[in-house]
Amino acid sequence: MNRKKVVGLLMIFLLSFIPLLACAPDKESTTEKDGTIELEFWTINLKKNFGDYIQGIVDEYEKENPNVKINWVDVPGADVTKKFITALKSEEVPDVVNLASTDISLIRSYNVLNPIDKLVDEKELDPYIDGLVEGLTFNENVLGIPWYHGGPPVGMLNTEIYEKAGLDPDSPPQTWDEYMEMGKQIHEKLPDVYGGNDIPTMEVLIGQGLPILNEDRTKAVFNSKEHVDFVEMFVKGYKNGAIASGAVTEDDRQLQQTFENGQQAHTGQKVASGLVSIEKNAPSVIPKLKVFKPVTGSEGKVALGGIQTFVVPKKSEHPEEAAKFALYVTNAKNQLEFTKLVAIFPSTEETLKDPFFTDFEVKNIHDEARKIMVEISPKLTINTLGIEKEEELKEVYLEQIRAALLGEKSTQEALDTAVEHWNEALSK
Amino acid sequence: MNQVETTVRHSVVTERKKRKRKFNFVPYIFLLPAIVLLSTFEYLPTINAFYYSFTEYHVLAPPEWIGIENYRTMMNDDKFWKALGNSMKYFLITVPMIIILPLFLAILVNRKLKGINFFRLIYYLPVVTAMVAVAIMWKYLYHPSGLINAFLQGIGFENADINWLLNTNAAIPAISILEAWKAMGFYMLIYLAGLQAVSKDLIEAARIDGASPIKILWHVYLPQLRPVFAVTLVMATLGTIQMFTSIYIMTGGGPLDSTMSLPLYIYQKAFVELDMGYATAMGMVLWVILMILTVINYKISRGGHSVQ
Repeated sequence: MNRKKVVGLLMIFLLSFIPLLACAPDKESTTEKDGTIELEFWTINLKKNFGDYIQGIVDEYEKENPNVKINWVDVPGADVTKKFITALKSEEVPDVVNLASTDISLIRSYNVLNPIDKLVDEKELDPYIDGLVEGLTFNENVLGIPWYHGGPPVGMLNTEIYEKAGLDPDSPPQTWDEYMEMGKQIHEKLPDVYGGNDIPTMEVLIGQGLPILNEDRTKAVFNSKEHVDFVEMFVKGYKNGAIASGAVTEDDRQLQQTFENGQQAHTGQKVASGLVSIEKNAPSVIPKLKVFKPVTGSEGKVALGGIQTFVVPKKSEHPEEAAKFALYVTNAKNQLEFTKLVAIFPSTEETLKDPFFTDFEVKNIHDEARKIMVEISPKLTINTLGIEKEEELKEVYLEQIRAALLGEKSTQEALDTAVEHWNEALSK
Repeated sequence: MNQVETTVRHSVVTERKKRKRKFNFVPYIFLLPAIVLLSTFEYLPTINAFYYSFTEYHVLAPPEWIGIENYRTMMNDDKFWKALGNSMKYFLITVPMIIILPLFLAILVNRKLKGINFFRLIYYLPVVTAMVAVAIMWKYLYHPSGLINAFLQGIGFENADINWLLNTNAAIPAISILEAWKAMGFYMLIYLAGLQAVSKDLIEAARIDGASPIKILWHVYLPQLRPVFAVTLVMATLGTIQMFTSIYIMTGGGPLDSTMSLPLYIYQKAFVELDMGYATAMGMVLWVILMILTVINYKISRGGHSVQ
């Protein structure tokens, strides 16, 4: 065989099998020979804005625990669930994963998460707000450690638009009726501007004091006359411009009329961290904005859509150490530091008692938002129903709300369809 | 057995042995890398998918055999039929646009003009631009107070206030136009190659016979371009039935599933709801549809043979 042939055959071999070799499992123990434990730690989209803060925690923990090495991986927000599921199928499983509570309800039935209460002493969970731990408890197992959340939503308005429309920015809407009335007036005076993008989500219904399920949680009840009348108010608002035409979009990031482009006058409920992106994308709009107490029902209740948590997969090789690290990241001191960086809310009670939350000088709109959030915090609830396929069913509800807003169905028909779908799923 | 017969048989056997020894295995070795890679990443997953389509499979738990249940569910799933219908609408609107218009563009840029390469580049630019960027740009154009409505108002449609992407009737045509706009340069290039291969003698002869430019196009260019049509038709069909990125970015399938294509529905079932069994069953149906359409296209264009 001459040299050319040998080289050719070698090339063919390499071309054929090298890519396959790359697929071979490369299972390495995460315990090094010197006894160092390696933990893979995932966060969602935090490196860009809060990289120093997270790295600081990692460094400090490694210093205090010389036998632990943390590999921090920051995953883009939209990809985390997919990446996590792919990782769970492989042997390369992260040990501590930042997941939204809504994702826990999606994957909990597959039994892939370690119950945290079995990994740490129950007392370790005492510092966290009871309601938040309860929201993460499924079949008596605590599946996640609560971290931060957007806090109760606040109302926001554009003072310049209010003045142009002949409204007083110091008298923001307090009820949804007022919100619709003012929105209508704004759109009549300024045809390119709409009231807001609020639609009657489940959180809005709960805030209004309207029930979702019957008492024994076996049937959906959101098609009563009170529910229909309430949703109908939004349908009328959508027609007269109190609600923006783009509000029916399926993704919040696709809203067409926003504070940033000056086509939105106010919002009844928005997480205060939204102010950060407005400040970044449209800095000239921030001085015109004003925050106020969120629009709710007579009881003043506000519901959270979900919170950020940490979970420990069952496949983790060092679950106890992983849980211990997650407790460290979410301890009162570290959460306080985090809340000072951005308008978010902690999951630990002690953090809320710090003067940063109880006694502070209002210097900017973020402080104003925090003041309102602290004030209404006691009335906070989480919209977790604890039913199978919860997220899927909530999407069915929203789809019917969009159909009603677009006039494809009457409000009664839309709510009846959603309730029928829910009851069929609940009866299984 | 006589001597002659033995000799003949002997020589036949030697000949066979010789042929066997001469068997040239080199081309097969060269085919090996492609075969290994294709089998690993294409055919084995396809066979797996076929199996999963008969199972209830949610990624995190082992698949469970349920026979044809997924296919039965599909028959009663309104959303599946709606998504399939939408994919057909995309196909019917987009394919004629990307089959016919690029031909005229190709005829235009086939002329020997000064700076013609610049025009070729301009028409081709959307093809090499990332779909995500293009889709976001078009989202601004389609905004209720965007350029398209402003243009319509400018030319006299004063009440043009269409919410292109949130109107259940306008959204599919709007996305189809964007897809056609992006793909046009690519098809133009294929036609251009086809046009440049058309025999100059035939055109010359037609001109001498007094044929008009339209007659030359109809009777000389088009018959010669038949193999090119076969390629473009199959590619356009496969591309439009599988439309995903633009819809995912611009509408996410909404409003009210009015823009939901079958691939997007499969994606949602597989990666949002983790219902892999059902998603692969729909994938199988989509594959069968694509195969049928490809065969029909191929037959229509008479196997790609040009007519002399």
